Amino acid sequence: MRRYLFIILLFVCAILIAGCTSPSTGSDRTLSPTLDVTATSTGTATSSTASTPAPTYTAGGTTSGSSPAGAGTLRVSVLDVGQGDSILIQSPGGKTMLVDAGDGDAGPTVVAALRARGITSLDAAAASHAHADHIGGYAAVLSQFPVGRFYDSGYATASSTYERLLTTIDEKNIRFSTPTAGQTIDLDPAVRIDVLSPDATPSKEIHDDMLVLRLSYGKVSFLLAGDMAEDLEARIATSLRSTTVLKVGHHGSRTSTSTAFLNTVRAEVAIISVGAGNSYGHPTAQALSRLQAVGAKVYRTDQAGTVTVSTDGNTYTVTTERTGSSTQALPVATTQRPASSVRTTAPASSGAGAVAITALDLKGETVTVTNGGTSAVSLAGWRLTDEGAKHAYTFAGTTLPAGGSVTIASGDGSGDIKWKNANVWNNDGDTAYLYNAAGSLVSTRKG
Amino acid sequence: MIMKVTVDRFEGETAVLKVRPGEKQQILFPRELLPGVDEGDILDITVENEEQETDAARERVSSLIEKLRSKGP
Repeated sequence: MRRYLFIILLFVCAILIAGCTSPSTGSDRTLSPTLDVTATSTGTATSSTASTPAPTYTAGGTTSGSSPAGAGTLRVSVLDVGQGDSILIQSPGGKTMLVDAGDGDAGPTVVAALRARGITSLDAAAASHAHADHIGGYAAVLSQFPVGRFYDSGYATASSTYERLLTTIDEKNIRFSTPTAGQTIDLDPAVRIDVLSPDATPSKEIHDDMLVLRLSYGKVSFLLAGDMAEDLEARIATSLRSTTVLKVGHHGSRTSTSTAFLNTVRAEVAIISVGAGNSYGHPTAQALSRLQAVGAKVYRTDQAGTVTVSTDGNTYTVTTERTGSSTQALPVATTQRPASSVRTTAPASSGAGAVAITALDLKGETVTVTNGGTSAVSLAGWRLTDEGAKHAYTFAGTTLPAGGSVTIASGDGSGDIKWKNANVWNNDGDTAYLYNAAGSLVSTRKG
Repeated sequence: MIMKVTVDRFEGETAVLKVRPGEKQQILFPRELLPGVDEGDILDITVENEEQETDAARERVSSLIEKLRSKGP
């Protein structure tokens, strides 16, 4: 047997299936936020946690006047960038801000999404933290779009992706700020953007020194949680408040989105930015069930594509690029609910619309069907076929709980359900099709 | 730290490495970085923390952050 020796110099943790982990840190950093202050706050700092005055950062230029809610539309789009985060804010006054830009290979996707919306420059850009699945795409974005100001967590990692980003910001002379909790970002006078984290005293853990933003426009608000985990959720608990829309922390990882956090935030809409078939098991059944328990309507970018919330400050509309995970062209799904501080019962879940084929292993002869929705779905009468329907499997009484998966095996494969002993899937390329009991195509997956 | 892994399989461009002897943990590794390796091979992986290089990189990044901040508003 041959043997090979590999020396892995840096960040071997990044290739372990543990997913995002924090590198240890060895040096303190000095914060001097007053250098970036451009104006003093005129509003009341409703979420201030720091004892220092709350400065206002200006990204968009003018700060004159104050538009009442209802004067225009605020759009917040959680872009479908696969496994990663990228959120586009389009303010009622026409200002634009990008929070994270996905992983490096998602850069062109983000660029295309901005162009498709007629955007030629960004008033502001922000990085929640320096992990590659949040900042990698900025290389493409900054090469294509002028950016007015860059907001950063200021947490120094040894990542070369981050170093290149900072070098580009330097070379392009983009204004740079590291805002801290209690401060506000002034993008558009109609929209209040509070900085909830990082604390002015950094904790020296990348996930704790995350840039966490809360937007409010009239009665409708958004919490952009980055990769916030439960320890940071607890640390900023006093500045949390009821929020209409939650961009779920850390792609729905197990250690994010705690019950205590959700009981405070009480989000009506929860959006998970996650890549189909990711290696980390995101979103986890635990996070999904906690969201389900508080009655949040859950949207996932791996199933719905880009999810956009539009609001006039009084009501909001959720628009998804596609419904469920079907690859067919489907009409845009919309739900409109009045924003209200009064909790109502959860809307009926789309249920069966959230069931999808999440894995197809041609060689291993397994196919996995997952219920990404917030309620259980019976698969009785559902049918699974290969390309050309040469083989077909009809489910008996299997019921998938919310977040549950079932693996159907053929040939030598092993799974929860044994389909047949013969091989089904063509190793040179094949496609799995899933039909519901009514015979409608629900999901397809190429292997 | 040294670990032995089995090259369990190739999934497209990804090699699935199983950590021996239990083979419960797995490492996904780009296949193109494993030239000459076949499915079923056993590999030694040696992990050494390059502390000096890490510190130097972090120091450069900290300096960059300071430089960008000090450019002012």
